[in-house]
Amino acid sequence: MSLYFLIILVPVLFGMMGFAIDLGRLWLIRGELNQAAAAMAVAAAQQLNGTSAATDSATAAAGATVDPSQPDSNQYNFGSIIVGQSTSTLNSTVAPPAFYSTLVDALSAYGQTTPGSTVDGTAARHVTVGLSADAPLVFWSLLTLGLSRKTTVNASAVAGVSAPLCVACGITPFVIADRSAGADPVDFGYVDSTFYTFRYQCTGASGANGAIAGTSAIVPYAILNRYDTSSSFPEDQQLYRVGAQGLGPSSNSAIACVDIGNTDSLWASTPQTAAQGALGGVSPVIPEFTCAAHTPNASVEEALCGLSTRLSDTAPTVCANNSDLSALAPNYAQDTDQTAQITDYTSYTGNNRRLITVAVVDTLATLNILGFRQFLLQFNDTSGTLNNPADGPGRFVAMYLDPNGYGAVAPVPQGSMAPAISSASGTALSCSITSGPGKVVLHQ
Amino acid sequence: MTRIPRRRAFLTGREGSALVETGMLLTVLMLLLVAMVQIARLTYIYYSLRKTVYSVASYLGNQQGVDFCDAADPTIAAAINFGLTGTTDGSQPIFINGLNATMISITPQQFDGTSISACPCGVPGCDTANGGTPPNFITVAIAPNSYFVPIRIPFLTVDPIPLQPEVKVPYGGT
Repeated sequence: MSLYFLIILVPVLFGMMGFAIDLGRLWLIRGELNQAAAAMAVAAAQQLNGTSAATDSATAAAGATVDPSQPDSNQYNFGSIIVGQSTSTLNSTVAPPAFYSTLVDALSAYGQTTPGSTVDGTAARHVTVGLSADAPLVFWSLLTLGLSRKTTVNASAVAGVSAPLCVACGITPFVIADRSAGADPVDFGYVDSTFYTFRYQCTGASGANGAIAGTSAIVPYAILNRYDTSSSFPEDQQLYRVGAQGLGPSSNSAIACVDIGNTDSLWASTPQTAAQGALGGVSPVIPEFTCAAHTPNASVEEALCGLSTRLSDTAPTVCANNSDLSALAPNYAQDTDQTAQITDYTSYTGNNRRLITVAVVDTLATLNILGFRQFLLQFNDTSGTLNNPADGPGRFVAMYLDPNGYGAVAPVPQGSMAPAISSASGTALSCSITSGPGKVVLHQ
Repeated sequence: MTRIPRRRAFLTGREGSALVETGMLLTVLMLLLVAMVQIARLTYIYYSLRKTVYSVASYLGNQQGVDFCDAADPTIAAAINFGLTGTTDGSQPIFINGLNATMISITPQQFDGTSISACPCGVPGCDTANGGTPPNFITVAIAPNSYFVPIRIPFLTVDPIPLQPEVKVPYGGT
């Protein structure tokens, strides 16, 4: 009797145990692969900057998360096998990331074996990543279906650039005016691939401080007030840092971010008009200087010293002589693309250090934030002359970027697609934009 | 003819053998059942730990102003609390028995365009409190040999199994 019991019950029990244990393991491995795919997709999407080299950069960044030479790379099967690596019995493969210009195309390709309508790096805004790995079967191998003792588990992820941001964080807090006076909400009157002379706002004739040779026009700029009184850094170092790496790091969004719809104010120690000073409640106001001036404002100079680190590791003389700033310089490496003047942005191969995102306002007098736009820093000439922060009106050269009509080429580090809440009224600020930089988001 | 008492027949007859066989069989089946439960438990705990470190990583990967070189950084503490309890202030019970904040390690890493390496807490490096730049990636892990799962099988002594899942994600904060 017990023999019959044994013959009937044991296979049934083994089958149930096999089903439970193997299914649990498959579930676990699928989770590990999904997390690895998500990390790869986000890492790749961060590199999408609208250049021909973007796909290579994105592929390298995605691959770095599963680098077999790094023991902490993302793994599966109880963390025993790095994704993309194989053992004698288990295979794992990582398909090259596929790039798409629209989210619809990317989602259509999600989980598919064929990539669909992919695009090159100049148009790529979304990326899909697909992984597959063999999961070992312990108990099911006893059954006919599992004679290979393994089964393949697939995982995919889609990441890309979000909708335009109403709040942008980590950007360079330089502000320029809408040159179109409201007529061009996409480019604000700036022309793609055009070189501009950025010159700190000033009055009077230019004298010797006009447009730098080879540029099309002068763009007056100012520096938004993001002075962090709670920071351990003195003001000059804060200005240097915002020039060198953009806003932040700060957990205070009023310091780290810029909000569309907000009426902003200028850094208190930079030259500004009485009306601008009134916006920020600044007193006394450092008066606006003349465009022909040869003596720079110290705060503008410090920000430009930071900005110069994006172009060159060799600090301009005025910055190298400032020990307060030069101590920080080793933190900020020059861009990996040292081409003096890049006229075709798609040929840019750098690491985005030369890419700056600035705020655009209705006018510099009223400082109502309308959006954010991106420029590529250039050397002053084809010989590679670096901008001089000691230049009286703080001039430098930058090229406007919007080849695809998105109002931006690359995602910014962080931000929000929802309007910011006004600290004064407690209501959401007005933010009705259809173009501008987004941030990297994981879609699926 | 001598009649064998009923009690003695129970001990020496066919039914007695069945009882012994059933006892042996049930012992083996119980051991298998317990082992299966332990395997399932181990898998579930590993899955939970993995989910915890991924929650910490995905939360932290979008934060701003994180000082990865300061063990007492409030954003890191909030991220760990979020992974452990689902609340950033740690006001809820920890999901996983025996797990605590000291067992979770967070490592900032930098990417040079080709490979990832540890980002030192110095200059240059990821020491944002001293002017450093944010990392490109972070690895969140259960520190080695910090979390053990005891295996409970009757009559068998099995060493506790260390579980140390880790996950690497890109850092998208500032």
